[in-house]
This record gives sequence, C-alpha cells and structure tokens, in this order.
Amino acid sequence: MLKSFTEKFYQGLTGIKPGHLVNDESEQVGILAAAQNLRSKDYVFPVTVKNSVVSTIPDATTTARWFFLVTGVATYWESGGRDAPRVKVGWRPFVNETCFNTEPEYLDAVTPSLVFGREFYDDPINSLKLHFEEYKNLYYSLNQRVNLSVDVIPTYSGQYDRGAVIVSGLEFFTGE
Amino acid sequence: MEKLESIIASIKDTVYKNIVTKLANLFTTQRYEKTFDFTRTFVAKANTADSFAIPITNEGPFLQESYNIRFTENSRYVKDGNTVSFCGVKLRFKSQADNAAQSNDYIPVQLISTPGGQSMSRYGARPFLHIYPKADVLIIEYDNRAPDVLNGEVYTMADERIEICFNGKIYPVG
Repeated sequence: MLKSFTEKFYQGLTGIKPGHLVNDESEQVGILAAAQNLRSKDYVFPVTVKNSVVSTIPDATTTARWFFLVTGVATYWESGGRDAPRVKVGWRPFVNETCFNTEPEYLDAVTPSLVFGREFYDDPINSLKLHFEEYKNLYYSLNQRVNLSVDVIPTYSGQYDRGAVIVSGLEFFTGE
Repeated sequence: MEKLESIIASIKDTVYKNIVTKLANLFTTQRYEKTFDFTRTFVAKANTADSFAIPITNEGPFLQESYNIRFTENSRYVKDGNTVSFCGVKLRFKSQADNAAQSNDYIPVQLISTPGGQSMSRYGARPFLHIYPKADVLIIEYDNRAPDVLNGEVYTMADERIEICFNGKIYPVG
C-alpha cells in the first residue's frame, strides 16, 4: 500500500524503519522517546447551511506547546458535486519562519463533495483533495497556538446543507 | 551456462539462508516490538452520546499507527416521505493518560472511514499515530443523536453497530 506523507514523516522522525526488526533495547527506547513528542491530531468543524445562512463556525486553537503540521484537508457534505458549498481554511497568526510554505495564508483547499449516502472517498473530486495533500507532500507547518478558521460559502440561493470540514495533521511537542 | 546456473544456485542459497535468519530474528525481536490490533464491535445506541474504554496491555506502550472503521450499520432519516440511509455516528478518541482528545470535536464517520458504504465492509486503514503508555486506556466516545433539522425533515435514528480496529505495535518493556 502506498504510504501516506504523514506516515513517512512520522517514521522518519521516530526512527521506525519499515521491514526492519527492532532487535535491541536502545532502539526500542529511542522510538518510544521520539513517539512521546509526536502525534496525529484532527480539527473538525461541523457546519449547517439553512436557506443560505451558514451556522456560526467556531475557530479552533491548536494545542498549547505543540506545533501543528497540516497534512490533509477534507470535507463532507450531504449535497454533492457542484451544489456543495465552497470552503476556505485559514489560520492566524501566519509566521513565515515556522512555515515550509510562505504562502498562502489561506488554503483554498476544499472543493465539492459528495452525494448524500455515498462515502467521502468514493467521490473522485473530493477524494482528490485528501489524497493529493497526503501523497504529494503538500503541507503547511504552523506555529504553536494557531487559530484555525473555516469559511463556508453557499453555492446557490436558498441552499440547505449539512457537513463538516476536517483539518488533519501531526503535532510536535515544543519541549517547553 | 554452467557458471550461470551455479551463480543462480548460490543466490537461491543465500536468499534461503537470509529468510531463515530473518525468521529466527523475528522470534527474538518480538521481545522489543510486535504488531498488535485492538478490535472492538459496539452498538451506538440511537439518540445517545456515550463512551467506552479499551484497556491497553500491561506488556508495554502501544504505538497506534492507524485505525479502520470496518463496518457500520445504518442510521436513517425520512425526507419527503423517502427513507435515506446514512451513517450518522460521530466519534472521538482519547487517551486516559494524557486526557487529550485526538480531535477537537466528534468527527462524522464519513470523514475518517475508508472506502465502503453503509452496512458494507470497509477496507484499508486511516493512518493516525498516537502512543499510549503501558496500561493506559483508549477511550472511544460516540454520538448517535439526531442532527439539527435543516428543512423540516424527520429523523429516525437507529441503533448502529460499528466495528473498529486500531492497528499498531506493542513495545514490551520490563
């Protein structure tokens, strides 16, 4: 199976070598020590759209004393295709020094979506995004205590819809 | 030609010896690392938010590498007289030791499950890395309550059976 960017990144930092047998205690200790400082994290933003009015979407603040590396963004909408709302994911503050990418501040990431009753991955447009993010090494390293925000824009007048946006990534303990 | 055959035979012999050595090593190295799956089947009761726990082994820390929501059985709702099937369950995972949720809120199964529809097997696993200390407890919180009514539709939630498997490695420690 093709390994995701997240796995490759994680394994590189923890010293896990696929196919390699851990055969002494020091190697085991090294992996466990590194793993204490790395972990996956999801930030999810549930959204409803009633007659084109978007519900209030509270921002999410990333964990104190942990850096956050975005490795995937995905959406789920009950409507599908071009009817799905448009989504913008952003963060503040934007600190160039802590980013592998210097732009953009907003990740105009997420496009429509799926037909109600089908799964996220089934949709070619939608699945493209997560896989693209995961496999093409498109990532954004953020500072600690970043404010993540999501903007949702209905695609037609009088739209009713429900869904969620997920921002996935890895957290790194800053050691403080 | 004979020389070529001799080389091939030599390579085969080396490969065979390497396999035997590797297997012998595998037996030994399981003292330091071995693959492990925690699997649970549970019923998310209709109109309920609740949680349950999976104790991590006393053998050593568990490094979770991925999880697979292998199966979900339908919830449904009625819209314009038609019953629509969808998995309405949302999940959140937590380690008891650090009490830090692995997501800021419940996540719809649609966003974290691998391919497959409702009441069908799903294949593959979603990479999600987290270390649980020895003797920790993995807490699974679920929410199977009806969503907000959008436009007058009527929700009829059902008990939903879910199978989930957490894949990773145990690192036995003394």
